[in-house]
Amino acid sequence: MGRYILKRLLTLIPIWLGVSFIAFLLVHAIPGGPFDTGAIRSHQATENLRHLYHLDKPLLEQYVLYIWNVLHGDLGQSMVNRGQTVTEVIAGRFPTSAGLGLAAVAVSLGVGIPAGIFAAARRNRWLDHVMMLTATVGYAIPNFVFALLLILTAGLWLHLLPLGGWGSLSQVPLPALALGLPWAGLVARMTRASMIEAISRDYVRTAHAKGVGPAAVLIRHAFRNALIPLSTLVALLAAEVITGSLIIENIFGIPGLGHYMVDSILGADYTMTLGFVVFYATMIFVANFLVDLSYGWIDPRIVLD
Amino acid sequence: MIDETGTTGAASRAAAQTPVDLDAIEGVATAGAPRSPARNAWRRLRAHRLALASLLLFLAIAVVAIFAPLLSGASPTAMASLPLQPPGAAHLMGTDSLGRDLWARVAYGARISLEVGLGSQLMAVAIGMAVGAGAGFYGGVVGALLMRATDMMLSLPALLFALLLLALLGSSVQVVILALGLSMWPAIARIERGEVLQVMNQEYVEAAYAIGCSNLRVLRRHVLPNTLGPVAVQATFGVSQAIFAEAFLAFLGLGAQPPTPSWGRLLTEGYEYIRTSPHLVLFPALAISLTLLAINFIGDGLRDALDPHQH
Repeated sequence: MGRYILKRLLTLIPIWLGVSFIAFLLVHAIPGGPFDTGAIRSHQATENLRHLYHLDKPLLEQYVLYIWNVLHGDLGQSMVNRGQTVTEVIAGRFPTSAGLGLAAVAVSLGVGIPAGIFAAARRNRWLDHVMMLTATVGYAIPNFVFALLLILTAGLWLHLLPLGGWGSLSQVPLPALALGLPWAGLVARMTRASMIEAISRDYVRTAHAKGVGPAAVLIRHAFRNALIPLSTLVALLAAEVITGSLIIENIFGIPGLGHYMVDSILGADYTMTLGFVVFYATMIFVANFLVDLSYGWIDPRIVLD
Repeated sequence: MIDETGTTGAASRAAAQTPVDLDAIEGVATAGAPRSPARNAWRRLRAHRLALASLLLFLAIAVVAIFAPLLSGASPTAMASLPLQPPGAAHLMGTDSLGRDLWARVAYGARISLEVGLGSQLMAVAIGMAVGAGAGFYGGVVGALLMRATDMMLSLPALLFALLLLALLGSSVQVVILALGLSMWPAIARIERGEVLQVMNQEYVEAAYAIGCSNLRVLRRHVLPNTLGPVAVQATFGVSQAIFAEAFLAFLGLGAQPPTPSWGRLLTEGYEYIRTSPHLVLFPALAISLTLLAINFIGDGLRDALDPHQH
């Protein structure tokens, strides 16, 4: 187990090197550097700034320098909002994005899993058909469309919840629903499919024969088997929700990472952009890694190596 | 699996000595079969009523996109009436904040969405199948390198990549297609590789080598056609993901530039007037949701019809 974890963690290094190199080349290829526009400053001052951020050195040397600093835990300083380090920005804003992301994951699992189990238990009856149709429709609607519809109905027409902002509990449900509901559809469909497969297995019939109640068979015996494909989906979901919440943050005015990221890329903030790329790639890696680890815990037959 | 160097080398020598008509030999195997796989798949797809209805809906959307100038009755960019008119007889979906006909803008917006959806997937399938088939068929160092490159692209967040490319090459629909095509091929490549590895173990591939087919011919005639099903399914869902991504980027103000109507941009523009004129948001939202829904149902139908793992 320890060996497996170490082996997996080592694969992070080529991932970091690869994505940061691609991003590094792209960022530097973008016409217009971070100090080309905006503030009025003397030629000498611009030169000094370029020197400070090593922009006057050859590209490859800059990259090696960057990687060297990253390996020492230093992601550099923002080039646009000087005085702020990349680590500070991410550490300050990520909790907000992660909070929203977790709430959205809770919505998608809380709605999707029970719906999937019900549908599987009522397989091919009208309730099943209605639920699966709803799930497919829900999955097809983009989260920003959900967001606008929720603002329109719950916010503007019914005056139930605030339209945006972040900080109080009443501001959580709308963005969390907008972000989580499309995924709830996918979770419901996947839960139903795995449940149906599990229900037809011998051990489920045995459980029925032993006299276990129908609900207990569904939850304790069948659902356990549905967990493996579900956990793969959850990793995808977590990575997607955390990195893809940008538009929802925009619509609801939530001070998370998303908005800052777009500004950094469009403002040619090299260090911030690279920091985001490395950070997001790491988050995706961690999500997948945790799920792989959970396989062994959910299904003891699976041996990781 | 067949020892490639030994068997195929000997077989191609044999073929060189006595020229045989491979088409004729291969034809014997299929001529007697009652139904081709393609016809079986079409039969299963027809049974999937929801998918068929969705196919019709999708075709209708495509017709609107292609014949937008004829069907819209108004220019999507010129002022047609007073601003912010509600839906009515003169303007089916009302007018926007600049008095432009919303129906015309939604109809022209379908062009951009379909261009992006189909264009990016064409690109993703071309790259993904080449990389995946190369990795699966040849294996070894080349295969390993191709798959590492695939994994690398997968761990680069797609949205970030698209933003970088848009910043680099300028904001236009073409760059959006390029960015999405380049970030969506790894998914296809992984599926293609898995399929190729599986097909290579089938007896008919061994048989094809035995009758003297070259590597290239086996790949082209026997391996690739049999991997198309799962790729087509993935690409179908890819079309809806790409349309979603285009709307997403347009919502942020990237991609098609004003006054070009893109569904995502219509949503952003409408959002400013959501309190007084909700129809500006509702119609584009309906258009994009219906399109994505239709494509997803088609994808479901295709999966039931084409993907052998589901049976």
